[in-house]
Amino acid sequence: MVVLWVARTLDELKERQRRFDDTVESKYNEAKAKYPEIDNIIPIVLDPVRGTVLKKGSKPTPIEAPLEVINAIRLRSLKHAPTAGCTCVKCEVKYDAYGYVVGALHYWVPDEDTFVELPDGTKARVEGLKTKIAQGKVRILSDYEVKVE
Amino acid sequence: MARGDAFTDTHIFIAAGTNVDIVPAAGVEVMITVILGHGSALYLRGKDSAGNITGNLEVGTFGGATTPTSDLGQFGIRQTKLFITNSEFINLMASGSDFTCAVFGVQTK
Repeated sequence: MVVLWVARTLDELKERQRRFDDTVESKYNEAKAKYPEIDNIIPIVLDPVRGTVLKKGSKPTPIEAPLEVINAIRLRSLKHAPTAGCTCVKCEVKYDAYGYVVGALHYWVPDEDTFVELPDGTKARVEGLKTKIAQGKVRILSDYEVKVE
Repeated sequence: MARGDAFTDTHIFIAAGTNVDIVPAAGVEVMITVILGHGSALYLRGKDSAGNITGNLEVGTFGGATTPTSDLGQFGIRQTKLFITNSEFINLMASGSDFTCAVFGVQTK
């Protein structure tokens, strides 16, 4: 396992989360520079082999678009939803067998210690990121993943 | 993506007290058909792209139980028909202990 660094502040983790959002935005802008029509595409793939999607309009019409353009639209849609009190520590983008982006898993960890309810009704304390960072238990593995012990 | 393809993740590790969004990309719609889990408690919540999130959703009764539960992990297999999109999706939260789960579905768009 390659460890880039041990996190020392919560901001480092927030920054990693922001970097994912910035990266997908820049990929979209790169694709737009080559394919200005990108803003008018509805990324519903009708034919995965031809890359047939829909062009926006009063009557959406089928058009063909390159894979990288469709994926740029889809990746941008996978930015983090606002999630108060939590930080995403891992962004796992899922692709299908054709190479199209199909979705993502975002793994959220609370910033502060929390109490969770157990099945028997009792509560247990779970350490949040701030506590884990103070203990040196948070390692940044890559732009896409943080390991929390 | 192609309509009818599998949408599967056979190993999702959720540490105690943490949660995971399962979000289809724009233009993709998925029907989750079953959620399997191993751990003490796993909860299903609805979430949207604005960050609104529900409490733990009731997922019905299981076996001989008569009281609806919100704990997916307590009783093994949960068969569902949950349609999720890029703007309306699900969030799974592990409570009490680390949880591993698997989600199986099909792409419907």
